[in-house]
Amino acid sequence: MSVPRDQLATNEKSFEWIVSQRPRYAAALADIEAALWQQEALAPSLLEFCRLRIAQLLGCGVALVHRTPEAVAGGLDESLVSSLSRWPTDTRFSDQERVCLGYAEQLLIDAQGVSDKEADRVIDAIGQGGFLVLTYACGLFETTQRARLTIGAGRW
Amino acid sequence: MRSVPRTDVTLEDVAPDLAAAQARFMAVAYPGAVDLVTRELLRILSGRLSHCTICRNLRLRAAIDRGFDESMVNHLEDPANSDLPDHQQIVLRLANAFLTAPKSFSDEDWVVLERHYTAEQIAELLLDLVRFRPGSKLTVASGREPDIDELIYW
Repeated sequence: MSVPRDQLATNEKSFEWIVSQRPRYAAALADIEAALWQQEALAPSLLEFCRLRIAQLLGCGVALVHRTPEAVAGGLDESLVSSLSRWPTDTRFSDQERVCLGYAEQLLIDAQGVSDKEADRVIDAIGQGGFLVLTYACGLFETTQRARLTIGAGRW
Repeated sequence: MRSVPRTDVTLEDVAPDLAAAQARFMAVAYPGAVDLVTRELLRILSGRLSHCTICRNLRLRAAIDRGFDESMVNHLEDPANSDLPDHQQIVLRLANAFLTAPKSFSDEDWVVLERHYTAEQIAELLLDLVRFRPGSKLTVASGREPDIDELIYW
């Protein structure tokens, strides 16, 4: 049975609704997202900055207006969010945040382009664990946003 | 390519719940509702567009047993110029759009996709595309790619 056209790629239906047609697979993705925001190697607000920066670069409006509850609970600074595109020069961003945002941008462009020097800089800033979590997270942020863009989702 | 790991630890060491969830995500992916050969083409294309040596070189023996042939990967980025059947061409159009210009997958493309695939199958294809690239980027950026650029059969 095909998906009714008006249910698949309209603003009425979400990515979650579409993938729920394959329930166990969708549930496994939800488990990953839950585990990502509950891990302790990297602060949720730092992850949220990177998620939102990727959304800016991909032009994913529904991701930009969404806020991850764990990041909000962790004290996400909305004034910094509104300056996210100016992270290289806005002095309110910490060195750690700058390193991570730069790395997130590089990963989005090309993971092969991550130099030893850049990887070392990220590891110095957030540790090896943070580096691995951030790397996986940025890939997941990218593909979950690309999915919303592909289906034309009207909401996160 | 780089064969020297950039970390002494793995995701399993530092975020065991996340690593376990990632493993479950892979485990429930197969068997699926879409034929394995079509999913193999999608997976290889994702590996190519993600510049992941392992992903683009990995070949599943189960897919080969079901009819996957190496000549099928010749036009993954340009499926319209391939001899692949329509149901595989539209999946490759979906993957190319998803990974390069998501909004380019048009209403007409959706109609074709829905003509060939059920709701469950479309969900599976989207989840495959969500799943592949994060693992590819982790492999590449953490320096865990093989030195040798050749096909790997599994």
